[in-house]
Amino acid sequence: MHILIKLLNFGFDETSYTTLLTISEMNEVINISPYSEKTARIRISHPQVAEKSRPGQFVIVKFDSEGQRIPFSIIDTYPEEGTFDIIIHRAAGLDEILSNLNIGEKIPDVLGPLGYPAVIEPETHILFFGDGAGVVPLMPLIKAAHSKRCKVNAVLSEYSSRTQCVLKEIQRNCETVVTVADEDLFTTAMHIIGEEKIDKVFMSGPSLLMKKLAYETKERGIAADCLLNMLMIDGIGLCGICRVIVGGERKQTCTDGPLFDAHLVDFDQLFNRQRLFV
Amino acid sequence: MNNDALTDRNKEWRVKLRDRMSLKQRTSIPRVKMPELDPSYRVTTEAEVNEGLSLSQAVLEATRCLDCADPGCIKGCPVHNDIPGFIKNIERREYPESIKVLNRTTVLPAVCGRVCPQENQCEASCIYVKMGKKPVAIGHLERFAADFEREITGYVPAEKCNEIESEVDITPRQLLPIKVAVIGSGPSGLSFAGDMRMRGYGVTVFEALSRLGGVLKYGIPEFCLPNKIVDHEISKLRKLGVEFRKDTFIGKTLTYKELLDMGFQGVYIATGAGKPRFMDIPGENLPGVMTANEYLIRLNCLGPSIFGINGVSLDGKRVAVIGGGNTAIDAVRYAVRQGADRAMIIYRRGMEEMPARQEEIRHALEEGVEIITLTNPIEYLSDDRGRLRAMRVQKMRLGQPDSSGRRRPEPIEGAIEEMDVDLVVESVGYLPNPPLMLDGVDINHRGEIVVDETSMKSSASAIYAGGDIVRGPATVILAMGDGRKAAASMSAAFEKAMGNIKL
Repeated sequence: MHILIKLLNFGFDETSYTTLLTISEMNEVINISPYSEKTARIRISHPQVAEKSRPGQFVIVKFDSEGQRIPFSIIDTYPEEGTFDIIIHRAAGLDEILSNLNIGEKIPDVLGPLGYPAVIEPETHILFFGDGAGVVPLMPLIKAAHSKRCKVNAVLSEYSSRTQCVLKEIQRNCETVVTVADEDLFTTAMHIIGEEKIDKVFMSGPSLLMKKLAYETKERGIAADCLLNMLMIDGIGLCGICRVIVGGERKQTCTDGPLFDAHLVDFDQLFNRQRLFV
Repeated sequence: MNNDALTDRNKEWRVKLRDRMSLKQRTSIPRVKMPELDPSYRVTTEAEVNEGLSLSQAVLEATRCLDCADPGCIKGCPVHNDIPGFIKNIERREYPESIKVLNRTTVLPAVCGRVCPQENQCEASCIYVKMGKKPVAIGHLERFAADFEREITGYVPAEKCNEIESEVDITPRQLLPIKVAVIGSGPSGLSFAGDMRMRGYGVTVFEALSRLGGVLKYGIPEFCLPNKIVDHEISKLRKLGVEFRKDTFIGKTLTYKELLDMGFQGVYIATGAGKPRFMDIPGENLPGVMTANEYLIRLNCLGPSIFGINGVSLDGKRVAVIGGGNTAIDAVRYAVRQGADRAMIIYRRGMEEMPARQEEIRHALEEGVEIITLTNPIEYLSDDRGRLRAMRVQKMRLGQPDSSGRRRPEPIEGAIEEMDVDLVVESVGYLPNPPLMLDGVDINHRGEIVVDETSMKSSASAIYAGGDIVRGPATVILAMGDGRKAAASMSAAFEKAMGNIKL
């Protein structure tokens, strides 16, 4: 060993051990754009997430070092700036977080990108169904479908589309966007499925609605993916709280999802878990 | 190597110490009893149950050690701590010297002194056992040495430990222009990191979660191993110059290939085995049935508030923990502290076969835990609201020994009972955390990385692995042993390569 060190001193300068990543650029709140009283879009700096994330993936954020770990869909990424966006809903019990957040602040923990990206075939006809808080996670998928020259239609519940900024952004990337009263979502969806030839359906919303849609699309032989919104703790597959039965197998939303083949998901079991957990 | 004042058995001080007392005098001293909090008090708090030895207790216990010429205890220790060496320094009351001896071979003495299964390792090889007596309390003494140092130097507070920037204090060896990456900040990764840094390599530890320490933080409860002690051990590594990067999930945030591209010339994978195994029985997905991981991570790191609608506290609840390992005992003892009305261990074999540490089982029984053996759940039943109400259990009996040497449990036909429960915690083993996006590394059917057992090198170049990701769920100390072994062989490989450089 001593000989080795001598040899190295001969051959090299004493190399200082430098930090490999510029940590100072990470986890900073770059911008907060309030969309409505209830909703805000937050831009966070994180070069790895910005570079690696693909539509459908998510991050786990801890806004307070003692606080909860909360999953958020990655809405948009800006790799050249090293930033990405998430959307926070006040309604989801996040009032305090949203009102305490300031531009320039450092968020203690951002982990991602997690989960698997959505599979979107170019130039296909895709229909998106979103209800309630389920609309926001669809935004990156709609944008991706649009950029892949897909024919994109969306049916959204009226309540969720009241956030005009969200709706406008979705409209930019869609051929048609239908907004309907919550109770009409299913019938409208059925109507569209009956009239047009659709290659794939993406759905995100309450489990009971997704169960009905999954059944109908399966009957008609239309591929359908559902985006599950589950409670998570670690987000890397350790705790099992986000487990769901897909095609008879146990899967974890954090490491195997968040998108699953809707025809294979056991929604009854999922509904039972969500009802009593969230 | 063993030619220095601290550990040389033939140094004058040590010879004198040995001659101070006869063997008979030494062996007539009874083994020390670890002072513990009273069971009725400790169930109301998360305070550590074992209080630690006093100075006089430690010195007296150290006196029991016969300072054997060929000590079996060192061979019984996976990291080969110089056990008589540190114990004799306690006997001569040079406490700071005793921890120096330990620091040479272990980076987590305060942890190992608390959670190692000494009864199966160093203490099992103690000469006292051959004499039919209780072995020297090596674990208690190791803990004493580490705690003494910490009490003198002071705790490093947790918030400081979680700071991203490291403060380089002392450089153990002149820094080599070679850096290595460690995946996972659990015991195996930490011990590898410490050893490599001591040899002069630049070391960066990547952790996916937001706290450093892996299973030591997320798995082992506060009352067995306080988090601040783990933080202190990690801060010692920081002071050596080990870098830590939390919130970095290798395979997602950064890939293995990127690590190599960044200039890391060696990678040690110590991701552990933390993926929960399930019973695979009906009703497992009912709310009210959770994995030990979910339960322990919530309690260790998030506080009971996360229970939400799922039960703010366990007050008056009946909790059944399935399994007989250390994790199961930890979980059930936590349930007692959360105010559970009944806290039960449901284990399919007998008391004798339980893999948990003896001390833990005893603590659990003192705290009012019911241990129900020869019983195995076969179905979880729900009430009309879809919540867990009860479980059906199959009574078992023991048959012939199986491959593990323990008698195999067999169902007794027709002996099926129903037990009312409000919460079930399944603690029936772990699966390896699969490394993501890792090409060229052989992985066996259990999901463990295949390594060469002497060098800990995987089938891919520059990638080594150790700990639970290689051996399946095992103990802290075995994982640390792997880390040491991998550090020794990786540095030997680097030295060999560098020795071939011709200018």
